[in-house]
Amino acid sequence: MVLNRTGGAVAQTGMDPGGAERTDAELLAAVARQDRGALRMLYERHEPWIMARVARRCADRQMAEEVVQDTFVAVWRSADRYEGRGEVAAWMWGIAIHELLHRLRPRKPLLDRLRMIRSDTLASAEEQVLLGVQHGELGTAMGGLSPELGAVVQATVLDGLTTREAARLLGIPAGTVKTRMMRAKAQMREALA
Amino acid sequence: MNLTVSTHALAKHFGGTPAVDGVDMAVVGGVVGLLGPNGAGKTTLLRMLATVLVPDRGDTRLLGLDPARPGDRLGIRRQLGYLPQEPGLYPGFSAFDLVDYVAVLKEMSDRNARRDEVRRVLDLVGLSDDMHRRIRTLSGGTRHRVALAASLLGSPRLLLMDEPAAGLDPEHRLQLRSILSEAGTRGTVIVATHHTAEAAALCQQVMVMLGGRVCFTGPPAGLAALAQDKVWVDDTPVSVDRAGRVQSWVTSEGRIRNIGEPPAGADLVEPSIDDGYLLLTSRHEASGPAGRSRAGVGRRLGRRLASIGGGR
Amino acid sequence: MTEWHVSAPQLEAFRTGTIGRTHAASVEAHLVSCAGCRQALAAGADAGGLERQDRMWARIADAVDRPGPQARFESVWARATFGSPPLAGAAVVALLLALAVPLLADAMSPRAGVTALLAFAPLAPLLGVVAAFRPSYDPAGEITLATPVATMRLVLLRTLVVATASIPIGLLVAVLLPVRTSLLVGWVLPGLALCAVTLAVGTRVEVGRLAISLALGWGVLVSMLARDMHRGSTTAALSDWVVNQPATQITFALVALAAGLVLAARRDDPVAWSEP
Repeated sequence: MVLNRTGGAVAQTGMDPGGAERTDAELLAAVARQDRGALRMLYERHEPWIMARVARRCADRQMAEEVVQDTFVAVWRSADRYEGRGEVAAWMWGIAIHELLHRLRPRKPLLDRLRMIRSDTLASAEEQVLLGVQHGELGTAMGGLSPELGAVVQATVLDGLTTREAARLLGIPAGTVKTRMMRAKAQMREALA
Repeated sequence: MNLTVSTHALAKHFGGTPAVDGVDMAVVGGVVGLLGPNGAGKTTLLRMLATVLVPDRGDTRLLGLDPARPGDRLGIRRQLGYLPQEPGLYPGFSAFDLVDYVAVLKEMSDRNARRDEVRRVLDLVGLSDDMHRRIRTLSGGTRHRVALAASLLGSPRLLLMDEPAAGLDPEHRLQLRSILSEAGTRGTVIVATHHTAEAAALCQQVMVMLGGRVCFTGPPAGLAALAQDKVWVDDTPVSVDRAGRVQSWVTSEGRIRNIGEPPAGADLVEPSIDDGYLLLTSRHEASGPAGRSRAGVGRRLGRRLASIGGGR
Repeated sequence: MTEWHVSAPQLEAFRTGTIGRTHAASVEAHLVSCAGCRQALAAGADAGGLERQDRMWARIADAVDRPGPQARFESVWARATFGSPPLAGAAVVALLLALAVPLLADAMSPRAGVTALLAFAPLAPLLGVVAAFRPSYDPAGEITLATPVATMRLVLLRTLVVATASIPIGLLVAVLLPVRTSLLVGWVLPGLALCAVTLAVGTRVEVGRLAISLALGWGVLVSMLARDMHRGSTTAALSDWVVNQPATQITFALVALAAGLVLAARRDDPVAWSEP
C-alpha cells in the first residue's frame, strides 16, 4: 500500500514539471488548516473523474452536479478526518458515493448519517484481493458477469458500499445483494483462474 | 472647486502637548500623501478626519459634511474607509469573519451581497486562498492586509490609510499601489506614510507635516524642487564637519551626496523628493525649540543648519 | 506496479459516459489510484466542462465562504454585542467581580462578604460601560469607531449585555451569602445609577478615568458606612441604609433616570473619542 502511494506521488511529480506541486495528501492537510486555495486545487484535480463517475450512477444531470458540489463542501468540512491511510481519491469517492446515496433516499437523514460512519470501514479482505488484481483483468472478469451481478460488484467492490447501502442504491433487498455477490465472486474467481 | 476634504485651524492637544497644531488643508480628490517623521501628528490628523477623535479646535468638512454634527458624522462614516496605524484584530476570527464583521458594522445587511463584497476585497489584497485561516495563524504582513481589505469595503469615497505599506513585501506593496491609485480615480485617498519614494510614485499631492503643522503642500515634483541647487556630490567623508552641509550620506557609487548650501563650484545634481523632504525636516529641527529636537542627529543637524543660516 | 494506463479514447468515452460497463469498471478502479490518468482526464476538459467546473466552484465557494461560529450572528446589534470577543471577556470579568469577590470575602467573615457584595456588584455593569466605550479595550475598537454603527445606541447595548449578565449572578450571590432578602436587590439601583451617569457623561469625558473615579467614590462610601455601623450588626445596618431608607434608593433612582433621559436624547449620536 505504501509502495503504491509513493509510486503515485513519483508519477505525479513527473507529470508536473517544476516538482513544486503538492501531493493530494498535502493539499488535504492544507484544507484541514482552512486553506481555501488548496480546496480549489483538489477540486480542479478531482472534479472531472468524480463527476464522470457520479454521472454514470445518476441519470439526473442536475442531481449529479449537486452531489459533486456537496462532496467538495464535505471535503472542506471534514478534511481533518482523513487519517492519512490509503488514496485521497478513494477517500473522496467514499464521500461522493454517500452524498449520492443520501440524495437518492433523503427520507432517513439520521440513519443515513449513522450508516456513513459505520461504512467507513475498509472493504473485506477478499474484496481487497479482487481490487488488487490487475485492472485490465478485473474488467475482463467483470465483463463476463450478467448486468445484475455486475451492478452488485460495482456497488460493493468499486464503490465500497455495505450490503445495505448497495441494496438501497440498486433498489433490491439486502438478501438479494448477498446472494448475487456470492455468485459473482464465484464466477470471477473462475474467470481469473 | 469641489473640495472633498478641508480643514481650517484644526488642532488637538494631548495633555498640554500639541499633536496637531492648526492644520489647514484643502483636497479636491485623488491620492494625497501625508509625509512626516514619527510624532509629526499624521496619525492624530487622520484619526480626526476618520471621525474617531474629536478635535479641540478648528473646522472640518468631509465630503461636504461637518463631522461635528451627529447626523453629518453618520453620513461621513457611511462613505468612509479607515485603516488605523496598528489595526487590532480578533485573533480567534478568520480573515473572512473579521472583514464580514466590519461589513456588518458598515450596515451591509444583505447576506449574499455582503459575502460577495467581503470576497471581493479579500481577493483585492490577495487573500482569497487564506481567507478562512484564523488571524492568529497569519503573519504580521498578512494581518495587515486583512485590515486593509476591511477598509476597502463598499468602495468608500473617502479612504484614510495610516501606513498602509507597513510590513508588506514588495509584491503586495505593488498591489497596494494599484489599489490606491484606482481608489484615487473614484474618490479621495489620504495616505500617511514616511516612505517618500512610495508617496512620489503614488500621490498627485503631498503634504509634509512637522511638529503638528503642515509645512509643505504641493505635487511631489514641487517637494523635490525645494532642494533645487541644494544637492551636490563630492568625496568629503561624512564624518568631516563642513560648512553648508545639512545632510550627507554615501551613495551606492561610493561618493557622498550632500544637501544644504553648496560650496562654490560644487557638482550639483538633480534633487529627488527625498532631498526636498530631508531639507524640510532639517530646517524644522533647526528652527524648533531646543526641547523639540530629539536625538543627537537632530542636534548635529541643528549645528550644521546654524552655520547655513549664517551663510544665507 | 504495472505500467497500465487508460488510453486516451477510453478516457474520452468515460468522460462522455459512452464507455461500456466492462471498461468502465477498469477505468474507475484505475483512476482512484493513478494521479497521472486523473490529470490526463482533467487536462482534456472541453469548454463545456470548464464552464460547468466554474459554475459548480462558485456554488461550492458560496457554501464554504461563511462566517465561522464566532461571527454567525446576522443582526448588526447581535454581532456588535454578543459577537464581539472583547465584550464577552468583559462579561466574564464582570461576572467574576460580582460572584467571586463577595464569596471570597464571605469566606473570611460574613460582614466582609456583605460589604464586598455592596461594593463590587454595582461595579460590574460599570465595567461593561468601559468595555463598550474604550477603543483601547477592544482590539478592533478603532476600526469599529469609524463605522456608522458606533453610536450611543451600540454603547448602551454593549453595556446592557454585560450588566444583564452580572445582575442575576449578583442576586445569586446575595442568596448564597445569605443576607436579608431586602439586600438582594438593594445594590441594583446604585449599580444602575453609576452605569447611567458614566454613559451620560461618557461622550464628553474620558470614560476610563470617569469610571475609576466613580468606582473609587462608591467604594469609599460603602467602606465608610461599614465602619460607622461597627457597634450594631453591620449587615443589618448596611442593608438598612441601602434598602430601607427610601431616600437613598429614591436618590439613586432619580440619578439613574436623569442620566437615562440624557442618554435617550443622545441615542443616535455617533460616538467619538478624545483620548490619544
